[in-house]
Amino acid sequence: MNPSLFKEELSGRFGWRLGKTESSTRRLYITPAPEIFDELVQFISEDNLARLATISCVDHRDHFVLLYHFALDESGFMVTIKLPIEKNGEPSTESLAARNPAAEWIEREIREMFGIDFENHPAKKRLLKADSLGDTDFPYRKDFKLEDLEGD
Amino acid sequence: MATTIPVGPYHPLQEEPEHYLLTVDEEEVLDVDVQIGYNHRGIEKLSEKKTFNQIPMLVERVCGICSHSHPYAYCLAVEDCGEIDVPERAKYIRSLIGELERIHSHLLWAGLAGHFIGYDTVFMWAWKYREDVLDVLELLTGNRNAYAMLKPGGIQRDIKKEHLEEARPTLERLKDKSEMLYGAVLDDPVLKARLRGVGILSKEDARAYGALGPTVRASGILIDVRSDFPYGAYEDVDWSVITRNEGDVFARVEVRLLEILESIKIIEQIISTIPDTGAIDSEPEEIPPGEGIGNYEAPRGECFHYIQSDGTNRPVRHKIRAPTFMNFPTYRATCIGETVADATIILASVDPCYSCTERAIQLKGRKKIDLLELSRQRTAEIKKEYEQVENPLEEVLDE
Repeated sequence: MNPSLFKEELSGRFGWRLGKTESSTRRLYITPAPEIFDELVQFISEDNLARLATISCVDHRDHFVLLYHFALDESGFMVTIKLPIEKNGEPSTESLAARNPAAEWIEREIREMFGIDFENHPAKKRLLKADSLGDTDFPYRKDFKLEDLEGD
Repeated sequence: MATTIPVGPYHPLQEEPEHYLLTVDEEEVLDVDVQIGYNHRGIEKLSEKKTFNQIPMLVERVCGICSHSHPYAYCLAVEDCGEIDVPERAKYIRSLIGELERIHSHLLWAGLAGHFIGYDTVFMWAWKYREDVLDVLELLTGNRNAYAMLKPGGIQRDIKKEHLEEARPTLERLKDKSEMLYGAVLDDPVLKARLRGVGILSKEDARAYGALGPTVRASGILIDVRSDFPYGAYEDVDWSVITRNEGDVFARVEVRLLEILESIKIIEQIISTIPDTGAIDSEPEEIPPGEGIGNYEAPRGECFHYIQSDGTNRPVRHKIRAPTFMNFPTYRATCIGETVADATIILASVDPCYSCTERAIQLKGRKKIDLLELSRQRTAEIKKEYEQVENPLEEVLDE
């Protein structure tokens, strides 16, 4: 299996809803239609036994993008699924932790650092953010100034 | 009746601040809660303010033990983003340092694990042998830790051929010592009784938690970035991935000790086959807009870096995920139902990352100092002082 074959398999299954893809010899990036996100994650992590390496969150100022990095260790490539998140109001998305325990700490970290709420997460308590930071201070957001931390 | 035992965040046995809350019923652990973040330094945020060439220096300081792993994973991410090729000689040197780091990290862990279960002989052996590895690292790179060898596109400095030759006898000695250590640990009935069947991580749990490195390999899952996503010199050398099926603490000890021997095998091949000359840096001019992933097999498992570039000289986003972040949550599967006395070694058996930067070396060319001799000299001096005054008490009284 390689990224381009895997992409063909996915487009056969999901059609146009697979959205924009980019691939190289060891990487495959997918930005799927939001409605197939759950099904796609399930197909990759459960049917293909991919390992959830981590989730990266990128702050694009007007919106966030969550990148779910899955490693297909046996085939030696990475599949990254991109999920844009609205920044207005209270940004949130569905948690993967109930089905995939690997996501538990990863989602807690993103929740504390970026303020994205993961619905139905089993443990919404603080993991690593300093006590001096409030519940609405999100240090990894672009609009958070490092200077604000001085005198801490 | 359930009792809660708080451990940490500052505790004499722990080298780093972590806070555990054990809920126990007499000796049995019912639940464990963990609070981390006492060491959170916001490196990801700081990294956004640095240029691509400055970042290796920053991420080298993420961890005192894996000081080659983080910059290596970062460089792989940048090279993935910019499609940068690394010269052959640089790849070999990178892997050489990486394997030396693995040996010193595993020996450090073996020593700490021995200490945690009250077996201080193992601690003293392992840390004594580790000194040899640090000497080799110092000989090759100039530093015992934080080797400062990496940059995107290659390495910072070349290493000398005569230094490689000079390292050979030390490695030979280390091989004998590691074999002896492995044999001694494996044959020890007390260690077997203490660690066999303790803290079992099943294959299913290991997969579900996304565990990495020796932790997952001791549960019978064959995952190793060096063979799954080959980088550096690993495609050109002959080595094998070590696995065990038992999934208990003893299996994790075995995997790490065998990996030391495997690393020595890799290093010996690298020293014999490294290209003698050639470029060590492809000198990339700029990093184009795009994104890149770097995954590297650190001593504790896959170290993961992700960078996103917008074409300027700084990354828009730099995500770092250390292996312990994935390995640590497995305590839910391994600790619960075990006894309080076993909880410490189970928590330690995933090798949560400790920092060590203590420095005490003997400079080459200087007169060799024997500490025992020094101590004897001092005793003799004190004795002499007292001999001059036959009875010190008498003199005081006279005055």
